[in-house]
Amino acid sequence: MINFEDELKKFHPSMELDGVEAAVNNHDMTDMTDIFMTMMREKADAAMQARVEGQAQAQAQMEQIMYNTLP
Amino acid sequence: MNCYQCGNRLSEEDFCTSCGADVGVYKKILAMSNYFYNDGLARANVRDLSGAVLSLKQSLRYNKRNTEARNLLGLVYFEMGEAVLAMSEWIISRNLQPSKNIADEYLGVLNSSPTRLDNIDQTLKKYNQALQFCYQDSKDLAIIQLKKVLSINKNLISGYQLLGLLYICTGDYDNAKRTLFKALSVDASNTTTLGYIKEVNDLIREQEEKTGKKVSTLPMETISYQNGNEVIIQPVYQKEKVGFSSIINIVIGLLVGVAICWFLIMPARMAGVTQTNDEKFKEVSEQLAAEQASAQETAKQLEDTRNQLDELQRKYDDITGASGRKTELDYLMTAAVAYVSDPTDSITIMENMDHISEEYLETATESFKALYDQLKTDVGSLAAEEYIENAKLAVKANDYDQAIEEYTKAWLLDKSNSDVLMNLAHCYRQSGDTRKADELYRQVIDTFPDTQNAMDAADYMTEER
Repeated sequence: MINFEDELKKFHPSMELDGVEAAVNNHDMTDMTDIFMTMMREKADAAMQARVEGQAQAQAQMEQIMYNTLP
Repeated sequence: MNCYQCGNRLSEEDFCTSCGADVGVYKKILAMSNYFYNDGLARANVRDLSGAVLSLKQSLRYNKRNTEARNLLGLVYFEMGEAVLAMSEWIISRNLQPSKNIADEYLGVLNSSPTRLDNIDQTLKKYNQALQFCYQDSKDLAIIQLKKVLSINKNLISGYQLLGLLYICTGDYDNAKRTLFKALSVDASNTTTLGYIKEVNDLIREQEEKTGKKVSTLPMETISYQNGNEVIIQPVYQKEKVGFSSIINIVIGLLVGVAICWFLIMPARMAGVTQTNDEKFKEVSEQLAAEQASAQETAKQLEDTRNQLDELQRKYDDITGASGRKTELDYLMTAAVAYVSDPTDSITIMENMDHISEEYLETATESFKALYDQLKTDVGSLAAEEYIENAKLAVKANDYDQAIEEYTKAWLLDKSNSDVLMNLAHCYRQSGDTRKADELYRQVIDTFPDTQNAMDAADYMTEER
C-alpha cells in the first residue's frame, strides 16, 4: 500500500533556470580518471621517497664501512 | 586515446611508448566509461530514459570528459522535461570541449527562443509550487497546478508521477492510470511509474472484489518483456469493442450533438439574429422619428406662410378697399367732407376723427397730419362745448355714465378747462366711483393750483375722507 507521505519524500523540487549557474559550479567533477591519476601520483611520490631514503641509507652504510676499514 | 601523463597517443601496449607510464588501468577506466555510454544509448533508443540516465551518469563517473555521454545525458534530461538539468550538462560539456561540440547547437536552439525558455522555467516553478501544495496537504490545488504544468511541459516525468500519486491518494484510479500511462509513453521503464501502476491495479482489484462492480474502464494488465538485463513493462491497450454498443454510442453522440446545438448554439444564434433585428428596428424608428419631425417642421412653416399670406392679403384689401373696412384715411376724408359741408357739425367731424389713433398718426404722412391738426384746431373747441352741453343734459337726467363719457371727450379736446375736469370728478363721485373721483380731484389740485376749483376739490377730498 502506498504511503503518500513517504512517497512524497521521493519528489524533490526541480531545478529552475536561475539555478543553472550554481549547478554548473557545484557539479562534482571528480571521476575515476582523477582518482586513478591521484593514486598514480601518490605511488610515484612514494617511490621517489623510497629511492631518496634508500640512497641516504646506502650512503650512510658506505660511510660506516669506510670508517671501519680506514686505519 | 591519449596518455594521461604526456598526452601522447597510446598504442595497444599497457604502457606509454613515449613516457613509459602505466596506462593499463587508465585504458580500462575509459573502456568502462564507453561501455556505460553504449548502454545508455541503447536504453535511450528504447525510451528507457531513467535507465539511460543511470548508465550515462555511470559513464561520466568513469570519465568526465566523455562528451558524447554528457551530451546524450543532457538530451535525455531534456526529453524527460528537465530542461535546466539538460542545460547544465551541455554547458559543462561545452566547457570541457569548446570546439566541435554538438552541445553548442543544443544551447543555441534553446537560447534562440527566450519565450520557450521562459515557458520551461515557468512550468518548473509551477511544478515546485505544486510540490509545496502537496507538503501543505492541498491536494486539489496541487492537481490543478500540475495539470497546468503538464499541459505545457508534456514530458515532465516527475510531474506525471506526482499527479498520478495524487490521483491515487484521492481515489481517482482511472485518472491515475491515465496519467501514469502517459508517463510510461515518455519513459517506458521508470520503476516508480510501474510501481504506481501496479499499486493502482491492486487497489482497483480490491475495490472491485468489495463492490462486485467494474471500477475502471482502462486495461489492467501490462506487457513485460526482457531487454538485456532489464524487464520492460508496458500497459496493454485493448482494442475497443465494436458492434451494437458502437451503434448506441453513435446514437447517443448524435443526441448529444443535437442537444448541444439546441441548447448552446441555437440560443446564441437566435440572440444574434434578435440583436440584429433590434438594431435594424432602432435604426428604422430613428429614421421615422426624424421624418416625422421634418414633416411637422414643414407643416409649421406652411402654416406660418399661410398666416403671412393672409395678413398680407388683409393689408392689401385694406389698402385697396376690397375688404369694405374703412381706413384712417377714409375717416379723415369723411371728417373733411363733413367740415366742408357743415363746419358747425363738430360732433360728426370729431366722431370720424376719433377713429384715427395716435399710433397711426405717428406713421402717417405730413399732409395727413396737417389736415388732421387743422380740422382738430378748427372744430375742437366747438366740439368740446357741445360735449359739455351734452354732459350737462345728461347730469340733469341723472345719466352719470353718459355725462362721464361726454366730459371725458370734452377734457381730451380742451385740457385747459378746469371746470370740465372738476365736473368729471363730480360725475364719478355721483356714480359711486369715489376712488376715481378722488384721483381727478387730486389732478385738479395739481394741474390748477391756487384756483377756486382746486380749493373746492380739496374740500371734496376732505369730505370723502
